[in-house]
Amino acid sequence: MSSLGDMLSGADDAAASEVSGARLDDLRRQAVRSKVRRTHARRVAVRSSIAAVAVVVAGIGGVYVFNDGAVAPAADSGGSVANEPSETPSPSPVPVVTDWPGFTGEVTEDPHLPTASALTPEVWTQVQPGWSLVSYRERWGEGSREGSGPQVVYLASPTGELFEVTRVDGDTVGVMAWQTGATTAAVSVQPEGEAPYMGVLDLLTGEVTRKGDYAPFIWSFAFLAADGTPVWRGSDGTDTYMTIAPDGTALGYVMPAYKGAAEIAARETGLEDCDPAAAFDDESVLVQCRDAEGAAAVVRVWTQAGRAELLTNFDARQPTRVADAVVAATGSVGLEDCPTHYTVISGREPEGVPGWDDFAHPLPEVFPPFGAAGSLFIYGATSGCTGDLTPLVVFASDFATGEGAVLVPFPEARPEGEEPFETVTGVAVGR
Amino acid sequence: MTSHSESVRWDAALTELAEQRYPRLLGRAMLLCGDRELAGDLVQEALVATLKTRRTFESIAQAEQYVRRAIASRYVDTVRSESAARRRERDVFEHTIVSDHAGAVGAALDVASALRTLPPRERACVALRYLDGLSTKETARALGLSEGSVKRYLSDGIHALNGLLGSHELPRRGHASAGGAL
Repeated sequence: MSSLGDMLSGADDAAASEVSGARLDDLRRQAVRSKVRRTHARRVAVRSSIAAVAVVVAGIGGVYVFNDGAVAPAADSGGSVANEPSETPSPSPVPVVTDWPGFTGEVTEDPHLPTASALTPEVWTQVQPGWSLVSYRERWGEGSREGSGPQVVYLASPTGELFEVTRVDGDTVGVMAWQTGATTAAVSVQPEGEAPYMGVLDLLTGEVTRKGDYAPFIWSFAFLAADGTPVWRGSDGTDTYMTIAPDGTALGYVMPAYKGAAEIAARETGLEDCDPAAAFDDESVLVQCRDAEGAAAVVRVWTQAGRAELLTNFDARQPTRVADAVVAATGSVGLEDCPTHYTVISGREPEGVPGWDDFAHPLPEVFPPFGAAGSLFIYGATSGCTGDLTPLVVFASDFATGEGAVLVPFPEARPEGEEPFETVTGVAVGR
Repeated sequence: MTSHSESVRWDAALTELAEQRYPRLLGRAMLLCGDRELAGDLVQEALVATLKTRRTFESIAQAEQYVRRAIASRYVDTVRSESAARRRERDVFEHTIVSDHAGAVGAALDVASALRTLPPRERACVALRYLDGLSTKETARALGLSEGSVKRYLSDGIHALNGLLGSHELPRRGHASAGGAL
């Protein structure tokens, strides 16, 4: 009689024989190659950035202090306390132009750019909150085969039309904040081999003015504020929350009624590790809980009333609110934190955000949301995960109409060695 | 010991794994999940997870070994994060596949069928320990579990398989071990 080990080995061999002619198909192989290349290239970029930041620390004695690559209030401000506002200046007024400001109306034709139209006076008059500013530059390859395309900033309508706003020469920029109708936007700037910094981009000329020696794009996305603005968390361990004003000013963010929410959620779920994740106008707070065994839950807590509502009992990341709904990244695959889609978790049954089923692309791993405006939810998908997030596709879901749109499509097929690992460098949802 | 000059670049490893070694990888994934399409996804994810962690490997065999571990890890993680509804749906699908093929392919697939009656973590532990020859400690590390949990899963899994297949002895520690720890 065969041993169980031999029987298992036989089953393993039989399973392989059953698919003996199988080969990894071209689409899957290209997806693997693209993700791996991007990760390797990204690691080099991150190492360069960290090294550059370390050099700048010695030269800064003013308002901001770099700490492990993050931004925090100056040391003499008394230190940073979790969820307390940081001492940042009031934002400067952003000039908002309603008349046709005189964009060039040109469209840059290049195989490494998405299809776009000219920005015309007629289009400009239609721009309203929910339109997004998108900075785009493709990077591809590895080592001697590495390359990058032209850098262009687009306006994206909620229904998926792209209009070229300006070309930006030189350093890579990522748009961070923009007010509808304004001709400037807050951008993060990544100079080659130097420390990143915040700047203000002139949308008419494509020129960048340095704003300060801090670099919010190395902060991590935390959640969307009640008005849909992204809230960023400092990566220095202090849990300092900040938002970025359209003029590039970093503003402290205070989460209302968070105190006691984690304890109430822990009692409700029986899970040990609970953290407030986002707030509503009625002073209720979303709390994410998990434990060491992998159990997870999202709870909405009304702290003052001592009330809690369990929204999920499955793994859902980055719960955040869009209009009156709560959405979260779900479908994550394991320890590497690769959620595959956004799900509305506040309804009777969990369901994908509007239009999700139409968003077919080869590499569905969702990126932290870019923002929300009214009923619109703007978010991205990326080909990688595990700390090397760069969006390759941008989507919009409209909770009012129940429909969705692709704002920036997945790059079309490229020649061997030119698969992009980076395309969209930033998205700012106009408000 | 393999010299540095004989190391295999990740892109060369991908070519080999995608061609010559792919049937064994896909078969292993199918043995675990019972669905060819899902198995293809598991192998793809495992290739990414393996190749992005390093640029070179000592040998193709080492790369393949790492991918096999990643397949088991991905399988456990996938099941862990799925909703109960989707899990139920797949279980129904699995039973359909098992009953369609069991009579046709014979004893080998009966073992596969028996293996797929085990809960996912038990299934992955049995595969890594007894097919890939990992120690309980290595199995625990590959799957993100405690060593005590792995021992429990192995004990329960083997007990169940003995009951289903009529075997009475613990399997030998398995074949096909290649390469060091991740």
